Amino acid sequence: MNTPTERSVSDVMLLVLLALLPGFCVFLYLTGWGGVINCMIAIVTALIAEAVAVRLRHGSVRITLTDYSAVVTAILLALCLPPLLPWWIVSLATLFAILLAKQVYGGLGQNLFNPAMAGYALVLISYPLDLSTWLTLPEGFSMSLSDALSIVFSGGLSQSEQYDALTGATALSRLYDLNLQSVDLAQLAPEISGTFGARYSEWLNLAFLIGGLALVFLKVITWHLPVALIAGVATCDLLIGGPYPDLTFHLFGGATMLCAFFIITDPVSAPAGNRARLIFGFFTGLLIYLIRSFGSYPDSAAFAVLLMNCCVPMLDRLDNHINSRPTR
Amino acid sequence: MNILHLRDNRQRGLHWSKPRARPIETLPVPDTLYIPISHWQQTTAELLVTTGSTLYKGQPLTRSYNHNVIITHASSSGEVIDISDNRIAIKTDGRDEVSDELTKTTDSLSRQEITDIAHRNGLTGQGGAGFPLARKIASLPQQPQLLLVNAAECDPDIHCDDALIQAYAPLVVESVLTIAEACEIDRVVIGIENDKTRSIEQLQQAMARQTARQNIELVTIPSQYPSGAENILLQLCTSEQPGPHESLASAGILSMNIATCYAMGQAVFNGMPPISRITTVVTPDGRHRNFKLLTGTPVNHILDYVAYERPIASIEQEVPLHVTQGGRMMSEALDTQAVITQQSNCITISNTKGVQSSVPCIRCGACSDICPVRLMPQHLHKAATHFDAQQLDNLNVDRCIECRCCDVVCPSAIPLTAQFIQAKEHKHRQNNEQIAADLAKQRYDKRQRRLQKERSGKRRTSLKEKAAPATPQSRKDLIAQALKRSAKKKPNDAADNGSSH
Amino acid sequence: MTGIAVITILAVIIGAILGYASSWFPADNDSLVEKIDRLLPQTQCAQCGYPGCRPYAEALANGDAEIDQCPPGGSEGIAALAALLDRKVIPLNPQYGVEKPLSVAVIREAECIGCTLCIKACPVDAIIGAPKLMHTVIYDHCTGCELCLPPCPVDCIDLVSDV
Repeated sequence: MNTPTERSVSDVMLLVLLALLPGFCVFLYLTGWGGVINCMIAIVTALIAEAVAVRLRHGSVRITLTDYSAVVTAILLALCLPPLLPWWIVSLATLFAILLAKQVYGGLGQNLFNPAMAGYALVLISYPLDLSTWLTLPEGFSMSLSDALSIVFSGGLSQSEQYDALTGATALSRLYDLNLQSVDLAQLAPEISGTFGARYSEWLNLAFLIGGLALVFLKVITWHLPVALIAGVATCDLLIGGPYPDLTFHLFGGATMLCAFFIITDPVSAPAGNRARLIFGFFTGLLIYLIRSFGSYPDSAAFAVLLMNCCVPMLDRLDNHINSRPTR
Repeated sequence: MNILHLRDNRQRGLHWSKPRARPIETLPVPDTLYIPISHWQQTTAELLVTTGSTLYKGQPLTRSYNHNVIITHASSSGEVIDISDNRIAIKTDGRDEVSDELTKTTDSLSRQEITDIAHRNGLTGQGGAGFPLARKIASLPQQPQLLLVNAAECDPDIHCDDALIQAYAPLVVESVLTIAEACEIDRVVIGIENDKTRSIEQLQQAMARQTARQNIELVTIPSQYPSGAENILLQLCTSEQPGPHESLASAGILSMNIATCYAMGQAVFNGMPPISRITTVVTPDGRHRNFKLLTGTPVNHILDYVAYERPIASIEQEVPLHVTQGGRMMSEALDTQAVITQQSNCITISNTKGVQSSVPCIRCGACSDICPVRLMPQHLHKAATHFDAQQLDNLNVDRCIECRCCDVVCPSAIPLTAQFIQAKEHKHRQNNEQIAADLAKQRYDKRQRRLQKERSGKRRTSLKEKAAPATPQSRKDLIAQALKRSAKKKPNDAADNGSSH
Repeated sequence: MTGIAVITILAVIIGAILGYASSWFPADNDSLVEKIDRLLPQTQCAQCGYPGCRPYAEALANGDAEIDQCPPGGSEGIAALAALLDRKVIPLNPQYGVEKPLSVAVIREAECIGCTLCIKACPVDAIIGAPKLMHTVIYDHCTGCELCLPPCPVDCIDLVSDV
């Protein structure tokens, strides 16, 4: 007999999408049409890629698409990418995420690596300049949809000279560049700091935190992973210090909260069992800190997550070993 | 990894809010009752009736000396019309006359006597598994420590024990005390969920009237599934943990369902064997009702009765009804031939079959978070899919209590428990085959060695025989000489010896 | 060019070491026989053409026999042997017999004449009896190998599928 399930995979994925909503809104507010176009490209590519792959593997396309896991992957990926990227970079990242990081391993539940992060890492390594450049709009300036579309689909920024002025860097990469030139941090503070964290991304992080807390409250995820990740970042920052102004900058800058509540909590690529979750989260936080502070990328939660994904089979064993110790 | 040894001692399981049990109702006696004839392996119960016999309520139908074979009784008066398919069909006469050969007991009982009563009345565990009670009592060690009465029915759909306690608490308490005294058990614990307030009150009142006798501990446990599973109840009530491979009875713990205690009370004080049981019937609209049903009542009879009361709209729709037994969690499908037995604690009638298609495991770990015996079903699932016996063993598949909590929380709707049951059976079979193979090998090796020895032995004796051939004649001479010698030694016994040889 | 030379020299050296090692440490044949023997069903039925399970295991370890010669082990047994010996899974060779459900020998005791021929044939001593007296099978020990069927002069032994 089959006992009816309380919450199906598609329910879980829909709840994750709902929890992403506040962060998504802030993201769209910050990025304008660029963000919308990115999301659309990512979702459409993901669904097509998933459908084709499942068809080739003789699976049921309807069942696979309605579990919404491809949509979640696409949106998480789009949230990491800067707006107004050439369309083929977004497509490439999504195709890699769905086809190579997920379907090649055997589809939902079989992948070792987080698909969104794998896709992001690919394009980050391949096109580092495009990926660390964000277009920041000057005050009072708004970009029309047609302008955004023409930038995205007509081959990058260089064609329209007038937008060169808009090219800027994220707070973290700006900080990173300046740090290389050993500029005094105190001078920088107004340029890169927002109200309490990194400029702009603080609000994004706050929104992800709210959505993430909702997921914990709804018991879609357990508290272990996010808390351990935040603890990992915080411990390192307090013990070692580092190039950043303060702890809140770390926590509300870059992709910390997105990573803590939405990326590493992907059930497939995270370990099961609370002890393993704590270790996994803590070391991801540690790696995020190390790569930010001492690595050659300004913010690379993606690398931290992928590196820890490699350890999941081992972590699973650890928990398994403790749990299954015979009580003889 | 002591640093990260999180102590997670909270009880794991599923929570449901449960409505209060409804009072017990009765159904009219059905026209025909079908009483199953019990058998165990090759032993079948010996029939005491033939087609055409007139029966009275409570009259034994079968007889057996084997404790594994359960003796059955007529649950109403009437006539045997057919004996086939391992069951006795009784045409009831509607008078419901009670047999006058029932033996009541009022004296204090010994352990042997109570075992006999349990066997004679065909008492079985009423929690669901139906283990013969006589065998359970007989397998207790000399000094049993604990009588654990299971009044927890954690399944969200089952209310029959709650209803039973509210109606018959005094008899239940008296019966529990009688069993404890007969088996010489000093400690008696009744485990009950804390939200059954009415039942707890009733039990406390009944216990207050019996203060002169042994003390009973009433332990309330959190209301959640699967706290009614024997081992978990034991852990909740006494914080003892049974070994993984021994039965509770052999560890000196007599664990009995409260309904079994009631049946035992009926058998001891009224001489009435268990011919009825209180069953929760869940109707298609999701409501539950408690019925006192005669053993052998066809499930269709209940269906007719419940369907009769259904709103007219649903009768007109003629939706096919789907009947399961065992509550929401332990449900197993019943066919149209099914009858009420001593194990029928809950009959669920539903319109839908409720089968979901499953998707691949997403390794979310919800199953290992819920597992009340702390297994890791997601790893077990993998091991069971490829049938990796070693891995299944490492993951303690044998400790799975088949509670189906993992099935409920699994977002991929994988029938995990069914898979584990199958894997366990497969493993068990393989194990037995291996044992048989080892035994055969041992015997084969021994035989080979013996043959070798015989061959070399034969060669040696044949050499000896060549040196001094022992003919039949010389052997006879030797015997005669020996007889002579003994005769000389004991002249007095010589005559006796001679006659006996 | 130097690269190719280095790789070639390395290949020669490592090859030499490996070749030497394989002759220095001979394959652990005894434990292999033991391992194969454990996978065999131990019915001692000799259907494989060898006088018992262990001789067949020895033949397999030496590479003299195929893995498709054991009918009682069936496809499951062949799969296990293939995994252990790193050979391809092949179907059972019908020349040696067909896979049957587990069964035991049962003597129709009324017809038994007490000839003891079956006792001598039984590879696991699962038949008891004495000359001119009725024989019977100890079912727990019978492997269902059918070796007692041909010697019986009155054909009073049946194979019954396992209870």
